[in-house]
Amino acid sequence: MNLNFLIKLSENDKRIIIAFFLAIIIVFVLFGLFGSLIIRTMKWQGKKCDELINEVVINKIITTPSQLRKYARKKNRRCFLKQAWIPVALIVLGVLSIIIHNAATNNWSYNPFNKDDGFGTLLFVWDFGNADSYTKVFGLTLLKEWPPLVNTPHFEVKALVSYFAIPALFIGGIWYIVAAQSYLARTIRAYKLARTIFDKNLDNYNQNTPIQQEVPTTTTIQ
Amino acid sequence: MISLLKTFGKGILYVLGFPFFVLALVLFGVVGLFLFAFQLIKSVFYFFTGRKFFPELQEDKELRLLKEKAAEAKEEAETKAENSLFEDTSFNEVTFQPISDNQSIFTPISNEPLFDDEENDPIPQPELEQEQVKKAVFISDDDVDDDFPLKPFGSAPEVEAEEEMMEEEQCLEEPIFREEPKEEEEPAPMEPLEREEETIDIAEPKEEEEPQEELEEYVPEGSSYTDDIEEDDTNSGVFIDYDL
Repeated sequence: MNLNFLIKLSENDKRIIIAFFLAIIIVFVLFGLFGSLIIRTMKWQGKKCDELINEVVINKIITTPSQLRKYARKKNRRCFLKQAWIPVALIVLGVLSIIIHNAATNNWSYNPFNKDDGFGTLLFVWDFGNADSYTKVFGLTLLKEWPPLVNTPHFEVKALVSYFAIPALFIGGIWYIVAAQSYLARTIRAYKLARTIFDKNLDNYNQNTPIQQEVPTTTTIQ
Repeated sequence: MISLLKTFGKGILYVLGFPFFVLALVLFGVVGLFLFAFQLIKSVFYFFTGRKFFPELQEDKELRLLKEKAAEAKEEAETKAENSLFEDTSFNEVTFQPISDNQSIFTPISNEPLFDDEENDPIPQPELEQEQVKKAVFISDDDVDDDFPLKPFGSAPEVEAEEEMMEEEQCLEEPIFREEPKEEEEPAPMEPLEREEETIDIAEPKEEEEPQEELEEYVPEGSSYTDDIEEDDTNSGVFIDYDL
């Protein structure tokens, strides 16, 4: 045990250690909040499964857990296909446009993100590859100053294909991920319902408690 | 503080479980792409065979049949409820049969009269005396049968056609006298009432009332009954002879 090391820590070092642990706590708290958000979203998406199998379960057409899982799987699959066909179409269109562009220009090494004839022409681009911007600190290579600006947003006719393909791929990709998450949520919900709906649980049952008779309600028509 | 620590603990768990979640998500995404490809091939096949892209499942078919049965039962119950409102047990039972194509809607289904059932007629038919027999419209007093009871809701009495024709001709030949309506005299215009101005003089002394003269008994002119009326008569002038 290096007690000498602990005694030799200065106030500044202690502050750095405290700040470091605080940063870790904040990072984990942010992960916790983000994870809670995802779980709440998935619970809300899973309610769609209840809507899909509601009438069939209430009318007792399905009477066993295996029947429910099978029926729910088919309905969830169809719901996923209906939700995800638009993003898949966008992704397919984006990929097709790049393939057609490469075939037309006979350049199969085309990078749609480059700053000369790609989507990079619309963005601010800094030269992070410049070695003059870096320095070594305790054996670590760190930035000493912000890299120089290489490109400012401007319009290029040659990059027109990337102006369509990149947004289509980006939007389609995000949309498809959300649809896949919804499909996962509904599948989890279906398996949970198959377990709870047909559960013959006697935890809260007591044979000695009297059965409460339902009071008949009278309705008066005015 | 406790909620912050709970969130911190959840964050650690979520960091550990995040790779598995991403793996499951990627797996479902890949499976979805395969499903798309498979469904695309099936949809081409369904398109050329004239079927839907998503054919009806067995459970959905059973549900649809169940709903149709429930709707039919509800309609039958509603029609029964409507028909029961129009049922009237006081009349004889009449069966309404659907009219066929060869049958006109203006001709009755059966030629039997509806209310000619003397045995089952619930409406009472009081027996009237001969003196209370009322005259029928097309029958004279001489033609009325002494033993003929009048049925208020029964069938009309049988009258021969020739007698009917004779009576109609007689009615047409007889002159119809009608008194000319008298001209109503216009009432005399009302004259406005003259009101005396009421004046009250407080200063003037009250005048003494004059003594009234005794009034004589009034005897109407030309009446002779007063001569026969005695003072003890309490029958208002009516003579009753009790000598039998």
